[in-house]
Amino acid sequence: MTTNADASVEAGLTASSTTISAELFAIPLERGLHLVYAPLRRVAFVANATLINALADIREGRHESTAGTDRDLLDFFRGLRLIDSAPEETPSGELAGEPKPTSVTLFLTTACNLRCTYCYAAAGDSATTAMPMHVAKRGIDFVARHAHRQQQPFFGVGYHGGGEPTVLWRTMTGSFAYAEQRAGEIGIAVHGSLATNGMLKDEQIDWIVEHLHGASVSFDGLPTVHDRHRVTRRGDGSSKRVIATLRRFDETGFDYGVRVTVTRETIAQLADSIEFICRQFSTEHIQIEPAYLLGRWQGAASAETAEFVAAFRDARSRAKHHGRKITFSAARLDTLTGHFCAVSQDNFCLTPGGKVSACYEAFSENDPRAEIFLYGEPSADKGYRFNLETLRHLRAQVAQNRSFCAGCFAKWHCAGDCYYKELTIRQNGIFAGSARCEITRELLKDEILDRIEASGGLFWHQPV
Amino acid sequence: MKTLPPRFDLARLPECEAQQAAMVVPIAQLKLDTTMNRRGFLGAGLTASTLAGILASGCGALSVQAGCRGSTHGGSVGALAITPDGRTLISAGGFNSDSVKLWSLPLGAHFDTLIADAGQNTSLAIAADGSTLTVGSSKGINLWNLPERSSSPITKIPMQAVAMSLDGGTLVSAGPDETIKLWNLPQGSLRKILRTHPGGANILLITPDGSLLVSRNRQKTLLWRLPEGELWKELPAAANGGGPNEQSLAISPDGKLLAAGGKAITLWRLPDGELAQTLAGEAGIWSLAISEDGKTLVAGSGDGLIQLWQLPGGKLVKRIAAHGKSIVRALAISRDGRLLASGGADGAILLWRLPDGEKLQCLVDLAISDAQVSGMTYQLRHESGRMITYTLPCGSAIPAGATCTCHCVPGSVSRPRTTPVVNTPLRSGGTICTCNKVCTCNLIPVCQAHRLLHPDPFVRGMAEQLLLAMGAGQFGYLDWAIRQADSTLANRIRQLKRSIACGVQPERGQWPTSGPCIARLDDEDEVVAIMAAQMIALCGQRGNLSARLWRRVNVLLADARARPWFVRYAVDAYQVAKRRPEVAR
Ligand code: SF4
Ligand code: SF4
Repeated sequence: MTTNADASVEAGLTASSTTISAELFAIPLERGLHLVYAPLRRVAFVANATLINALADIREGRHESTAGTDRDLLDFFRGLRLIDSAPEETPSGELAGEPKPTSVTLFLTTACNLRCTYCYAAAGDSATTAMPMHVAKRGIDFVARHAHRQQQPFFGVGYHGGGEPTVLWRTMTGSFAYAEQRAGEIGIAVHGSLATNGMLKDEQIDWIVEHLHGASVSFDGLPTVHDRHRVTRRGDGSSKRVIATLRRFDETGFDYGVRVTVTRETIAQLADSIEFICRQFSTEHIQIEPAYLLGRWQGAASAETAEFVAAFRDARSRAKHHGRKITFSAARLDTLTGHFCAVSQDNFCLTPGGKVSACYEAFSENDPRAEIFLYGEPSADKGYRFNLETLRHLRAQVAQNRSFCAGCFAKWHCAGDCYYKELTIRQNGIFAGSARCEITRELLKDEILDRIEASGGLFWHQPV
Repeated sequence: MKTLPPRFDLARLPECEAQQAAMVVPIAQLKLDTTMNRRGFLGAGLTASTLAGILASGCGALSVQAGCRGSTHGGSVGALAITPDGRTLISAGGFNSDSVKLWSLPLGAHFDTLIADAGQNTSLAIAADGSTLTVGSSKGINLWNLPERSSSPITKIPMQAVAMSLDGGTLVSAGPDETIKLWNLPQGSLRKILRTHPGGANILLITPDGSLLVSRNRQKTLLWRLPEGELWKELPAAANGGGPNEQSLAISPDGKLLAAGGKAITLWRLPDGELAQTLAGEAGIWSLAISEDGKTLVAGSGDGLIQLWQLPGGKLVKRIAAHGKSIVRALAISRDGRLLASGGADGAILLWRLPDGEKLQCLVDLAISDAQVSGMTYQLRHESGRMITYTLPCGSAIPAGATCTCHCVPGSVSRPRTTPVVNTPLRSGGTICTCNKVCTCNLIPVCQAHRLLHPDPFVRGMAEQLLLAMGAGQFGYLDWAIRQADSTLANRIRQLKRSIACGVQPERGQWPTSGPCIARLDDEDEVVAIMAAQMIALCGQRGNLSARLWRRVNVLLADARARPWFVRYAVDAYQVAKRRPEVAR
């Protein structure tokens, strides 16, 4: 004979056994409905208010109410590991110990062959700096050594910075030849990467294709859109050259990505621009970002608007039509992390003067935030001396420490967004979110709803 | 000013919202236009289980009503007629709305109000020449010359139904005096009076060859021979269908079929009056129309659906969710069979493409629409030489040759008003029409809630604190603001609403010093300036202000009160909120 008590034990309805075992968010939708999202369980579904309150009941230990909840529903939650499961694993937090980087990013120069109106670095406006070869070699030696010691299969060398790295072509190719030589000596590989404006000659393209593993090219889509902001010193558009570069990359099967910058004026053309990119080029990586209100674009009208979100949605559906995906840096549903970028993960970048920076935006000692992001300098022993206090501060920039983000459903994807940008918009020295937050949350929510739709329309569950 | 941290952690909702059983809601039930821009959602890659979800939840028909905010008569729609040339739709108001309006086809642009006060129970009959319109109502019968917009009264005796022979020579009318009257046109002389049903007839139809008159009320359906006016036959009771919807009657253009609506649709052979077929109806049939080729029967039901039936055979080919849950009161098909007009008790008139039933337009007359309905106006020279102003909903294509008269200056108002606007004209807020090939009218958000995503964090912070100060008592206002906003902003407002519902209060610690507020008193966005003034008042910063600045604050607050209802509402709400003791904590 089964008693009522037995039955409830069987159904898992007893007070003691029913507890919430996931971090749960409820994102308001229309008509009182909510999107329930458990990021670390990778679970989402749309719930009505009664269901939300049933979950609240369980959380609050209101056992009587829970017992009244439909047994199937509890089984459903259990199956999704929202209740009565082992605790979730949170993404890794602050790093500790001496930095042991295995990749170096070389900010070769602040010189640039373009004068993009929205350049965050205002590249080319001030006296240019150039990285001497010995600075590059020391950095390469340092990461090669660490990769070797850590028995990594390769070390990385990237070219980036507040100018166009390919302008300093001899240093770029020379330093990479040195990296290849070092890699040969220690018997591991070297992975090279580049962020470029795409104003490349054929021989440069050929070299890149032959030596590097990937490149990110700034390209805004439709030639008219691209040429509106990405112009030469004389004010001529640069789309022709960049398109030729992308074509050549495609012909060779080179792995490259396109970064599209959107200004308030070009929001309306975003979807057409993405259509253009999808039709003309075969890249699989299309990242879209509103222009930063920094450098030359300081004081411009922000593109971090609802119109951007609408345009992004439009662009996304066009890209989908071509079997491509577009991304926005902070709305990464497939990434669960406490770090938005490598700034909190001992990112190892070298300024032309040889200082160690954690941030791609803080590319020189003259940066107003250099004190925050520059955390090391060459030491007497061919290595680097790190300022551990600065490093500790940078390492602390993880989602776990962002009290403002604690209640945000995007926190394990966005992880508090770009720290550099955050510093430029802080209010009274405190981080209080930005207009980017709305973009991140809207686009992430779209993605979640898309996943539900793709999983049959009722719920999404994709355990890690 | 610091903005509030996001609060998405799952929290208990007010019990009043949690009245249904706990449910996981299929995503297909979300109103996609407000949550995401997913054009072609239903067409694109719906999985089988989603479809199962839709069907199980009874949502098989996709409602188009959500996108139709047009308003036509200020009340329900009672009758529709399309001129034989297919270029004009004539609509008459139903219950509580007694105007007769003209709309150009196929665009559906409003271009004239023929009669502002036509009386109740208006019925329309149009002659084959397209220029003679008979309007019968509680105020009698008027014969209209449409091109000239002139009318001549036939009688002032109240009427509840009129019909006209195609040749325009015979007019029949039915009144509450339980008679049917035959009139000679164009003279308007009374030819004969027929004694008929108790209660009189509610609908009259004449067969295209003019040989038969059908009259119907709740009790009886009678066939009369014309021109004599002899009672020829009473159809069996089934023809009346047993519903309150005695006006649903249609004759096929060849005059051989009579369709009568009730709980179901019954088809009768004419002239013998034999039952031909019964078609299953849903929620009662309230309106019927048959296409000129006789191959399509359109039925409007009591639950807002339009059904397309194939004739002969009576196969249901399509169901369109047209008027929400409101009765479809009137239907008209253009003579070329390509256009269907439907009018509902919801006050909407919709145009549909036949035979596929694609929605084409939701008609709007701005003069009687709610404040939040936007539209565009343009002028075209009519063949009579007159310049005519047309009104279409936002987003409609502007016809070739039209001069767009919507105001193209940002912030100006294009809304024609029936009452003059008092006080200063709006300098911000209202409608922008960008006149290009397509006239898009964007409602400029005009209140605090619509500044929640302002690029300036200080402005965002002000908006947030002011809305928190307004509190839960202003959820009506926030709901309005949500309806006006695009989806991103709407979601942000929803989040704030949720915070208020969860008891979040304005944070005095977050209130700014007067400096940043003063700096914004002259902001070019007047809503920002008003918010700065409100913030100064809310924070009690008068002491820090010079007399000149304090005057400026008061001018802004007064200016705000003189604005359209929503801004004033928000400001007044704030005034109320300011008095609430908890705000001052
Ligand atoms: S902090 Fe921002 S700018 Fe710096 S590396 Fe990270 S994402 Fe880039
Ligand atoms: S609050 Fe903003 S920065 Fe923080 S996780 Fe959410 S979206 Fe990212």
